[in-house]
Amino acid sequence: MVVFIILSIFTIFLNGEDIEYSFHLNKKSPYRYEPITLDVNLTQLDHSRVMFFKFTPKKSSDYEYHQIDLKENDEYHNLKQRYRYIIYPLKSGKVNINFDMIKTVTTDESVAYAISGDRDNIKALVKTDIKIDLKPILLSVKPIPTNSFLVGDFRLKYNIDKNTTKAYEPIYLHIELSGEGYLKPFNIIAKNRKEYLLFTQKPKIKKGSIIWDYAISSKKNFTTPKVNLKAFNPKSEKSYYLTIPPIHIKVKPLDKKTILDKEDNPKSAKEIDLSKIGWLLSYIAIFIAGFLTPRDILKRRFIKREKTIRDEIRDIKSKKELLKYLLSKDRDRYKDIISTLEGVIYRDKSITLKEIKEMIIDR
Amino acid sequence: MIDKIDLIREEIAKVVVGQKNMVDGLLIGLFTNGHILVEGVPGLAKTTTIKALSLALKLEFKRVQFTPDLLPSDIIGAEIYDPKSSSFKIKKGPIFTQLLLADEINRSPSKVQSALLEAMQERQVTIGDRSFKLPFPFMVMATQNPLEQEGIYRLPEAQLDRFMMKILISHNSREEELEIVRRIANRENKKIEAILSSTDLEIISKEIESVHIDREVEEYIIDLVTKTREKNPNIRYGVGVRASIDLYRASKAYAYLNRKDFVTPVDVIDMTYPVFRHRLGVSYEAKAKGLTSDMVIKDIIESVDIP
Repeated sequence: MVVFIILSIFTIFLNGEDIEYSFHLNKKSPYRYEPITLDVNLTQLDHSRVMFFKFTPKKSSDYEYHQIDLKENDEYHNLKQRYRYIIYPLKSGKVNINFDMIKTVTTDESVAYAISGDRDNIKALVKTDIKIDLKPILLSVKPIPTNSFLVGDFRLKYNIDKNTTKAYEPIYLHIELSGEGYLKPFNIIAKNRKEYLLFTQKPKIKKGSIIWDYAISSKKNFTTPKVNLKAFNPKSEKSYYLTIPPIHIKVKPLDKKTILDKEDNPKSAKEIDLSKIGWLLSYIAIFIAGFLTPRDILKRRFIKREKTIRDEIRDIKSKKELLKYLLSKDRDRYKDIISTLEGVIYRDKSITLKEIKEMIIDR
Repeated sequence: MIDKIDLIREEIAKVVVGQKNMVDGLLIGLFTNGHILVEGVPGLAKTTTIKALSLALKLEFKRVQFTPDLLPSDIIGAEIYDPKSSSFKIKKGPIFTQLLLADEINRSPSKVQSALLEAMQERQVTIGDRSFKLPFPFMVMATQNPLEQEGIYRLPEAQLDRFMMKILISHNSREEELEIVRRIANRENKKIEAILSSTDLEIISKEIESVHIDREVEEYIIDLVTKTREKNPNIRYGVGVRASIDLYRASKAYAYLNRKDFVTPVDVIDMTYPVFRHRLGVSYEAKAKGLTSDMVIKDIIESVDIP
C-alpha cells in the first residue's frame, strides 16, 4: 500500500479530447547518473477514427535515455501504447525532460487503400498529422560526492597470466568492471610509461560491464600502475573504492646467444669461390652438349637418307618398280623421269633401266 | 581439238595466275559431266576462275552464296501467284544455268544442300507439279572454307559422293603472287575470248570417251577401289561405285588434257587423290596419329602393284 502511494506521487495523468496520457517515474529526485525508469501510456479515447502515435523524448545534454520496452495492441480505433525508458540525469539541479509527440488521424478507407496497389504503384496513406504539445517532467537531481568516477554498484576484477617473463616477451592483463549503474568506456590504465611498453585495444562493452585486455612488455623488471576508482552507490548513498594493486613483474634478461645465428646466413662472400666456377663450367658443358647433339643426329639422318635413296634406286630391278618408287617419293621432283618411264613402259621407248637410274642419280 | 584446250588455259591465265590444278579439275569436270568440290581459303580466285571459264567456253554462269537462312526455293525457284492473271507462275532459280558456283556450300542447312545435290544428280528440277531439265552442259563448282568450322553444316558422306572430285587449292607461289600484284598495279583488264562452242564441247567429250584404256589399267582402277574397302586400321569406310566410275572417266580426261591417246597408271594415280579424298572415311585412330586422307590414299597406291 505504501509502495502504491509512493509510486502514485510520480504518476501524471493528462486528458485530451480523444487521447489519455499517463507518465510514471520511479523516482523524481535521483542522484546525478542514477538510473530512473519512465513508463508512458498512450490510450485512444475517440474510437470513431483510426489513430497512430509517434512518441519519443527529446534529445538533450542534460540527460541520456534508452528505450527498453514498447508494447502496443494491434486494434484499429482502440490504440494503446506503452513505452518504457531508462533515463540518466547528467547534471545536478533542475532537469526538464521534454517530449515529441505526433497524433496521426486517418480512416478505414484510407488504410485499406494504402495497402492496395503493387510494387511499382504504391498508394500513400491519406492522413492528418497533429503535433501534440506535452508538458515536460521536472526532475530535481542531487549531486554526487566530489571525485566520484562511477555511480552505481560495481565490482572490479583483474587477472594477469604470469609474474615472471623474458625480456620483450609480453604479459597479458585482463580487467573487468561489472555491475549496475551508469557506464561509459574509458582507459583504466594510462598509456605512456617509460619503464614498459603497453599494447592496448578498444575496451569491450558488454551488458553491464567493460572489459580491457592489455599486453605489457619490457626489457627489465617493472610494476603495473595502481588503479583506484572512487565510486558512489546511490541506493546505499555511500562512496567506495575499486582498486587494483600495483603488480611487480620480474623480467629475465635476454641471452644474446639464444637469438643470434651461430653461422652467417647468408654466408659471407669469399673473394674467389672455386666451387661455383666448377658448377658454371659443368653447366656450360651440358648446354653445349645439348645444343650439338640434336644437330649432329639430324645431320647424320640427312646423310643417311641421301645414301638410302641412292641405294634403294640401285637395288630396284624393274622399270615398273622404279616408276612406283618415284611416284611414292616425290611426284613433282621426278616429273620428267616419270614421264620418260611412262614412255618406256607403255610406249616401248628404248632406254635401259640403267640409263634411267643414272639420270636420277646424276641429278 | 586438243589445241583448243591450251587456248582455253591461256585465256583463263589472262585473269588467273597459277591454280593449274583447279583449272584442270574444272575442265575435267566439264568434259566428263562431273561436279567439282573446291576447298581453299577465301581469296584464291575461285569465282574468277569459273567466271573466266564460262567466258572462254561461252557458257552461262551464276553464283550463289550459301548462308544459314537460304531456302531451297532460293536456288531451285518457286511458284508465285500472279494476281493480275489469277494464276501461279514459275520463277526459276539460279540453278538454271550452265556453270554454277555454290560458294561456301557448308554454310547452309542440309535441306538446301540436298535440294542442290539432288538437282546435280538428276539434272532436272521439279517446281510445283512441273519438271524442268537443266541446260547442257551443267556443272556445279561448290566451295568450302577449311578454316572456319563453327556454325557450318558438314556435307554428309552420301552427298559428298555426288562430287566427282575434291580439289584442294593453296596460296600461290612467291613468283605467282608477284605477278598478281604487278597485274593489279598495272590495272590490266584483259578481255577473255570465247574459244569453244557447245558443239566443240560435245566433240571433246566424245574424243575423251575414245581415249584408250587398257584392260590392265581398268583392273588397276578396280584394285585401288577395292583396296580401300579392305580391313585397314586407318580407314573407317572405303569408296563406293561412283568412285570407280569417276576415277575411270577422270583418268581418261586427264590423259586427254596431257595430250595422250591412252591412259597410263600414272594418270590413274594422279586422279586417285582428287577422286578418293572426299569419299574415303579416315578412321579416328588415323586422325589421332595426324594422318590425312591424302596420306592414307598414298599408302593404298603404294600397296597396289602398277600394271
